[in-house]
Amino acid sequence: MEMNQVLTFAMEIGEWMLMSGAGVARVEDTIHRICKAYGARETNVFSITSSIVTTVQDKDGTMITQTKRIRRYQTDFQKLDKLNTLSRYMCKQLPEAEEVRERIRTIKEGETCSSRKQIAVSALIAGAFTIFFGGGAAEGMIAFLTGGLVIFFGNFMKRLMTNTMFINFVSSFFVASAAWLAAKSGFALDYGTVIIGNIMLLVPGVAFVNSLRDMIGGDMMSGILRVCESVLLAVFLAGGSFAALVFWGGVF
Amino acid sequence: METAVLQLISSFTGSFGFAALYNLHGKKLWSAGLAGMISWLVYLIFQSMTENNFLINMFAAMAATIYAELMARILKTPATIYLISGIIPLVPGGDLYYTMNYAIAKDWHLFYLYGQKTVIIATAAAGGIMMASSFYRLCQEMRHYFNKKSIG
Repeated sequence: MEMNQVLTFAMEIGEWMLMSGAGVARVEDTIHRICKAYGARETNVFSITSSIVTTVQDKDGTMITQTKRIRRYQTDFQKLDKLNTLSRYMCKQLPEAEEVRERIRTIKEGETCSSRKQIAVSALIAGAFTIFFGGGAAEGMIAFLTGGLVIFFGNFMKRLMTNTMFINFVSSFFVASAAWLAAKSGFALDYGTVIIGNIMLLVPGVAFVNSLRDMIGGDMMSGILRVCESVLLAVFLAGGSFAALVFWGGVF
Repeated sequence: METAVLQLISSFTGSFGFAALYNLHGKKLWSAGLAGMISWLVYLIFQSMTENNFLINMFAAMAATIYAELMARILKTPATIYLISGIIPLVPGGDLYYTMNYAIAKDWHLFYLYGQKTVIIATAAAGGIMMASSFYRLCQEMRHYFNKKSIG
């Protein structure tokens, strides 16, 4: 295979890994290994969470550079697993272009979590975390219902607009309103646990820990970017639920 | 005791749920749920021994990492999958949310308390993961090294 073609495939694999939730270090390593296996003399990969830049020098000394810009993320463990297998296979067997293209296409078109399943699972998560944080059976049930609704609502909003911050603000406003009304009407004793159970669905806790992990591992740039992103997202979530409580007159 | 059992069950459900949301299937999905339960079990065990929040979270994250590395080897999948599922009960998502909530409410004392807690827990979890995974790599490299030596 030509180096240009190899780099295109490697970048595509890297892009999809980053979108599916792989760490930056992992993506850099994968691209590096693939290019090296196909005979690159030198590979320089730089990646942050929203972009990948790679420059490769092939056997004749020609330099090739490609860039990817990543705008959306959808954590998908199944894709991650398959991409990992593919990159290992490429490094060992050095398959031809046709085969690699076909395999990448199959992975990209692989099934995703259906919207109905997403709603059911989110309801389960919200209920579980409400009980985890000390809520009773009634709070768990309320959280179960709102958890499903909020994801349904969020998916609907995502189709209309793309700003994550705003969607999260509105979602947490919705959650806090539902929890407050449930508490006011006497179904649930404590609206705090219902809110926190639902917030666990939206809050970027894992991203926060992963960004610190990036920083400890030496990827300062992507670590700092993600810390800022998750803190800002938490501000919007808190703002949404606070606004709801003020609006309904719970606190001021 | 009762709350501990409830928490273990709900941590399993939470991790299981997130893994299902992230499109995992079958046997791998159940092991991802188990990852969350194990890390919370270790958390509870250390909680009964020490008051130090940093240490408790660090050891729980280390346990999750070891489990993830082992499962990655057994089921031939990247360790990240089990690691992310395993640390879900530990991540300070709730604390991060409360911190910002108190910032908006301008309650600076509670903001400081929760902010400190969030940073400590997140650092402990990240540090635990890095330590355990580095140690695992080190052991692997050493085994390769000595195997090569005995052959050559």
